[in-house]
Amino acid sequence: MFQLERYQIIFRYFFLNYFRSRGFYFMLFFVLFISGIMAYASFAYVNDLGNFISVSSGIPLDLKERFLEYFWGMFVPYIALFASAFFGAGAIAGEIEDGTANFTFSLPMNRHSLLVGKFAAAYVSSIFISGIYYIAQSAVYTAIFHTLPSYPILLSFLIAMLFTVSILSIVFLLSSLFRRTLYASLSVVILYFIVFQAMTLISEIFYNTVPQYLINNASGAIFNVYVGITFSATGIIGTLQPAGASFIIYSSLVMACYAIACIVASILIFERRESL
Amino acid sequence: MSGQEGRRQVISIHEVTKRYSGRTALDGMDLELRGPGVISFLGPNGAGKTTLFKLINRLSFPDAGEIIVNGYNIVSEAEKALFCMGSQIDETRFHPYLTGREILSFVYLMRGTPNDMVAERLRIVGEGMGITSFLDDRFGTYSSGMKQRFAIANAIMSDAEIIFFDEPTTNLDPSGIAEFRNLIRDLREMGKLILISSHLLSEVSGISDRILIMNRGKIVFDSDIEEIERFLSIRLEEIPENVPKSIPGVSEISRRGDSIVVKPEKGVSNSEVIERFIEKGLKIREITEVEGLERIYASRTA
Repeated sequence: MFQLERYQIIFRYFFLNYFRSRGFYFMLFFVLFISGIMAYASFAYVNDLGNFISVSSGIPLDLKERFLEYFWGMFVPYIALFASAFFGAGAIAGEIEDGTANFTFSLPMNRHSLLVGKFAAAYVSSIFISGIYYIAQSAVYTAIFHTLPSYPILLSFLIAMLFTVSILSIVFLLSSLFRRTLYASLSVVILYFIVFQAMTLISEIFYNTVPQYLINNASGAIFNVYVGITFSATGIIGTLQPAGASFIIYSSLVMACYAIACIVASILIFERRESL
Repeated sequence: MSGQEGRRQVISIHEVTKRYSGRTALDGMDLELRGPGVISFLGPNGAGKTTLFKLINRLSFPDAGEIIVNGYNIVSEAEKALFCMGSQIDETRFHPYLTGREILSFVYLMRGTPNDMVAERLRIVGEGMGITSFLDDRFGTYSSGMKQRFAIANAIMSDAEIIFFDEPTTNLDPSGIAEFRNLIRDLREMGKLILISSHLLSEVSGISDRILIMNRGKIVFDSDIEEIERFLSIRLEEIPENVPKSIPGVSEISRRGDSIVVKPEKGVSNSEVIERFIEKGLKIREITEVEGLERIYASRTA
């Protein structure tokens, strides 16, 4: 059997399991809820943007459009993070915890094939959730400005796809380390919101620089493609212009490095993982 | 198991040790398991039976030693080794949001069965195992008995040469247990090597060709079933004051309560023993076969 065919079989099986799970419907509800709030906020504040961003008056239409997309984009990393945690945290830890490992780990296939197939299933499920948010964003944009979304939204989505790969890799690594899904989920949230944020804060205060090599800061590229400002401990930094190509490329490379390192590590750990 | 040398199914376990947080689950085990036939592992809980099954199925890894299945190392050539095996280990669970049909189709496809043959294979296994009626329901909705039946079906469906059953009759009703025994006989006739782990002697005594008793991570008894001694407990109408010290065809005689326990010599049937007793003028009220296995089990696992 060709390896690609094998990946497809594993992907189909686990995607179906994700697709029918309660977690999937919870995430669907979550993203629709966030999209609803964002749509309400967009219609309510788009004509009051001057007060909102402390600019007295005369905001050009172009900036207004980009700010709307920027505000939507700010939530994308969190949606990708939660979706990845939901679908990825149980990928290995859940198999061990639920006792399904006795079935899946004893099937005649390499462990890395299983991991790659499961990764693809979790990735598509996560992207599906983020995709709904982007569709809602585009629909609201079209309703307000009576025109189709501009090119940066596509770029933002592509970066979000890469970000999802990297964050899902981190989740898979944690899932291969723990025997409980909850521990893997909590660990990724703690890592992202506490450890990385603390490191960012220390770097900003003591070294006066934003550590762009941390995944939470690199994720800024998702919304900086619209407007290049960032909220930091020392205030708002950046410009009202879209982030430059070098910033986007650097952020993307950071994400790719996290993804490669974490996937390789999780494959190595998973090769010797035991069922309970 | 005479006449089984040189057959295909061979599991070789060399000096295998496995420890869990300081506790030794398997202690330098050396063992060769050859098929076809039924080999049963008996032992109390914690004896190391499930650990051994998990190591052979790559669900766990040995701290020392190696396991070779049909010539393939279970660690370095896992895919080829696992292809030879089907298993129902511990309480095997499946993904709850998928139907039985989807789960078994996945196994068939992973084992390289052509897509257009899967449905027909599923029909045969479904009918043979009596799982057709719930095959299209999601696994998460199955009762304990249905789950156990399904797990057994999963183990045998793959046409694997070697099949593992770990405490297989747990959650099965009496008719399910009888069906399982018939299934084992069928599989043996098909030339497979069947490995059963149990702590119930009654579960394995009638269907095994070879019995291994494990205790504290070691094999403490290993014998072909034919060589395990058989005892008869005989209740007489009236026990004579002096129990005969020798009866032809019987090698040991002892009194136990209101019964006499005898050990028939090899090749002597129960009816021949009855005839000898009648010849001695002893009237038999009841005769019960006492497994020698019980006595061995009790002494080796004490």
